[in-house]
Amino acid sequence: MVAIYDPKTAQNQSTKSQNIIDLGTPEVKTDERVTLTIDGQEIDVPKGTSVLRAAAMLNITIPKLCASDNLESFGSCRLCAVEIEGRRGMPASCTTPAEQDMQVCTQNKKIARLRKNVMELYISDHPLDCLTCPSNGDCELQDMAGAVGLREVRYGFDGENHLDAAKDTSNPYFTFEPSKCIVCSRCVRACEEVQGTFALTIDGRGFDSKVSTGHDNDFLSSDCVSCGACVQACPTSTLMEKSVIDQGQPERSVTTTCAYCGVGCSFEAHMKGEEVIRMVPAKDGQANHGHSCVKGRFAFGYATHQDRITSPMVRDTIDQPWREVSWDEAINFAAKRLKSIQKKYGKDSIGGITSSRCTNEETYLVQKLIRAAFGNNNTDTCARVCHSPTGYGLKATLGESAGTQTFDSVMEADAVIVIGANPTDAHPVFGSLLKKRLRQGAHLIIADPRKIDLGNSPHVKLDHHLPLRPGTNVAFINAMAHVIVNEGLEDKIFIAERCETKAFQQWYSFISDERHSPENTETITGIDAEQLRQAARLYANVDKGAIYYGLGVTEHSQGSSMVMGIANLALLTGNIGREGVGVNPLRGQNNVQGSCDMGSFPHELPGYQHVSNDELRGKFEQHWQVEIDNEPGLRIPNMFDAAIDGSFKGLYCQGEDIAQSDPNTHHVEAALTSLECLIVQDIFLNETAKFAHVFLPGSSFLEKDGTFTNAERRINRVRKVMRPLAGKADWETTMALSNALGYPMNYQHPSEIMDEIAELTPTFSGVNYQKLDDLGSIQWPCTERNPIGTPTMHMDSFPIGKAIFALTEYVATDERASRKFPLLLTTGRILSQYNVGAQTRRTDNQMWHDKDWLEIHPHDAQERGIQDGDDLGISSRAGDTVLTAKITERMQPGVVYTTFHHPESGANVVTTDNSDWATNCPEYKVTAVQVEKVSSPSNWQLRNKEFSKKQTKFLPKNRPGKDRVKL
Amino acid sequence: MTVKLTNIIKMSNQIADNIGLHLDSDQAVDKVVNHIQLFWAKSMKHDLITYYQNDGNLLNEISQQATIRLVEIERENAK
Ligand code: SF4
Ligand code: SF4
Ligand code: SF4
Ligand code: FES
Repeated sequence: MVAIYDPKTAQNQSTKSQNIIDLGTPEVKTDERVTLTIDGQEIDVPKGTSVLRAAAMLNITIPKLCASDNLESFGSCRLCAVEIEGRRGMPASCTTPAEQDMQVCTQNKKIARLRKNVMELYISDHPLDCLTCPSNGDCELQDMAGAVGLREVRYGFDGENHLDAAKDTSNPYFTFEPSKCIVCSRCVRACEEVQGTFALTIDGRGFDSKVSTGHDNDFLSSDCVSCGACVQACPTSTLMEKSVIDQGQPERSVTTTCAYCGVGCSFEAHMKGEEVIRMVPAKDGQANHGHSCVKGRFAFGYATHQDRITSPMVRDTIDQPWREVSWDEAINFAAKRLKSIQKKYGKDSIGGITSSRCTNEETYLVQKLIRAAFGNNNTDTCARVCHSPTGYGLKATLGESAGTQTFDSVMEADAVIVIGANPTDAHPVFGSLLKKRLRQGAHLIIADPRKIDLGNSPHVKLDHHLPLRPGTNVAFINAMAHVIVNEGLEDKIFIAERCETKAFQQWYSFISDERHSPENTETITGIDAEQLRQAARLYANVDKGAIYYGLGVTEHSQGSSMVMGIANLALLTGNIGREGVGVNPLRGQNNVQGSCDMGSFPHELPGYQHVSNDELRGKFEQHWQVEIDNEPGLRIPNMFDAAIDGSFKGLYCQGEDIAQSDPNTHHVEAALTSLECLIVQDIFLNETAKFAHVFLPGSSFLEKDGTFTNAERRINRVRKVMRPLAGKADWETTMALSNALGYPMNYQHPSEIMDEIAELTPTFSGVNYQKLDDLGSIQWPCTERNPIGTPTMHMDSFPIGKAIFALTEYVATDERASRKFPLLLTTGRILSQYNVGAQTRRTDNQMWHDKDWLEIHPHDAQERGIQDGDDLGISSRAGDTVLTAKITERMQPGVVYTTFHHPESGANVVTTDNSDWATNCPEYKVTAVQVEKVSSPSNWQLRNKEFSKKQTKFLPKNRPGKDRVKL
Repeated sequence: MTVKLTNIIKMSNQIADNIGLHLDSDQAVDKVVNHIQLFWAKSMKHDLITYYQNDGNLLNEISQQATIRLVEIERENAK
């Protein structure tokens, strides 16, 4: 049988993927089929399939160099020549489509001679340093020379050649050594077709042609975003990972999942012993199909960075140095403190925070620890501050707290609306897929206060940019719906069949009111009414319209209303329940979806089962053998308020840096200093840990088994490739704490935790590790009815039967520009850094973004006499900080922007504690500020610097970890 | 007034503004009460009630009525 990878039948995910063969040209999708004969064997393939691919499907290997099945064929190397009956010459099989009754011969003397000649020409202009070449043993050129039986090079090496071409080592992660280039243009095509950046070109013609990063550029200064697609595509060692050059070829490979963003790319961790040599995106990865971004592919060095803390530590107060202690001592210290706090201040005086960076299994255990061992529901997760409105809004309208599609679904969309998201930076691999669809001609509408890169990507046409004012999302989305209703463009059949009638009628009369018309909302949103009308018509009139949104939707005082408004719009146009449509939240961190699914929120047990429902809660009580409180607990901001108030005294915080990531830093710091016991579990001494009494060293994603769930509900396996540096994986630490508190937990492996999850969570009932290994990944719901998961949600019905249109009145935020604070600050992120930056700042990604900037429109800058690079004091009613100015037309006048990747910037000193009405998700995206030139850092920055210095000094001098991490 | 109480009042008013508008006041109060029941911790409901009983001026109309309803529910539950 032909060894084509089929996830449904593949057996062992962790070893099999290396055997996936390159079929040479991409799959063709059509129902029309043709039958041809290759070397006497008959095969039936979709019409349009290349002869090269058809042969590969028969296990007939035709030599090739310029072809690869993730790139359109190019036909430049001529190595894949074949003979076809009735045709003259020897056509390239990669560019020749299979035809009915074609007779192909792939090997005879004539063909062999031609191939040998081709190889000879290549090799005559190629250095013969194979033995010392970093690609030795992993080089397609070498393989092909062997395959065609090349034995001599008649031309000699003295003629004109490229052997002296200079090397480009500017990129921190890979080198470009042009002397080894065979100008197959795979890199150029990978950059265009896979990544969509178009940073590379072939300059010159014939012998003079060479790969170029553009005039006067090297890789680092060019448009290159360091995704590595070209490195992976290169058949020679011209483009090569520096880690392989330094450390040699890896010897084994383990499939695992990226721990950065919500795309959840699958990777092959290429290992030597316990050392990761490189990460290569898995070709059979169902979220990423062999692509990745600079973070996942290259920025993994933090995992063995010398800042890793690998020994448990305790101290009585935060003014004391840390004491390194044994695991037992640290766990008992923590347990004793928590117990005595509860004795003194009551059961509800402690709580915990689960992490969206940890695995599902770990998150599940932390909330279980809180509900069962702490005896209260004071559990929350960092998803509170990003996508909690998604959970609320989608559950209220569609009946399930999750996005509706797969990523691949975008390849069917006719029009895409992107709202408050920046996919090329924050969800790069999905961004590349989206760009691919847009280059094929799908329409694009962007609603964002800023101009984002997606809108001016090469060969992408932006139909409408709707530059709305921060804080006016709901007015905008209502106006969109108003136009559709007003112009009779709604999908009446879908509404009648799939939506609740009474709610729709009520909503219909609400939205029909003239106050929602684009003309009337123009003064609120700042969006030109005619532009908005056109955009609404475009979305309503295409067959398949898809909406993608990010934190620019959720992080507002009306975040939940906006999510419901988006769902309304999709329902109104019948854009739910099919391929190519849908409501798609782009989740920030790797396991935001998972941490929500796993019952991290104070009001919901795993699987969004409300604590007040006796039947649902009873199921957990019985299984856990403990009574569970039937009222919701405190959310993160409520915990802070209670801490300052003196009623909340102990916090267990796993893998989240609330001191840096949460808004209104002054308030957060006041809360943290009021705690009598703060337990931080992390891989680094993060900002929060500087306020902690117990430090429990965490493990990176490379050091444990588990699962992450990405933005498309896809449960992916995380596999251990090295032992935990501190001796315990995070789930083991939580277990130890629970046992010390007197609530026994006894799992031998995370798979047992997943089994328990499946038993208690209906949407996970069919999930287990064996099935995950077999299928590669599973999109929940995975039940008896959908045993291999559910790629597209709501196909026939909604979990609540019929969908509900929600009334979403626009209510202006309290945070308004005023004379004192005339500008609006909004926040976001960039490609190379991730979130609070704890990981990426400890890698060479720093080269792209070593500080946070304040982006400001030239008009606002001029008014204040601001030049590029000036230090700017930025103040709000919450606090002030100093950032460096970057003047850019990306911004609209009146709006400034910054990222929050660096703790010393103190971006969150400025943001306020305003929050979403339904979920308390902070309003990071709107803060009224004033900006002025200053000459020194802010008071907070000075104080913070002092404090950080002091806390770092409190670390033990010769930490054992410092040596241990140098594997 | 403590930060905690200021926030409680603000949150409750915000909920009323967002789900109460355009509904008759009975319906609006129902929805607000339901929301608070589903999402607020015990201690927060207590703080709201205590504030209402002692002062309550900063609560908007719907929030005030919702709080009265919460008191009734508490009383029912205590029985
Ligand atoms: S690393 Fe990515 S963006 Fe840069 S040149 Fe290669 S393919 Fe293009
Ligand atoms: S750099 Fe590699 S992929 Fe690009 S043209 Fe040269 S050999 Fe081909
Ligand atoms: S950061 Fe996101 S897009 Fe990049 S490799 Fe990781 S999961 Fe993929
Ligand atoms: S592989 Fe067909 S021409 Fe290069």
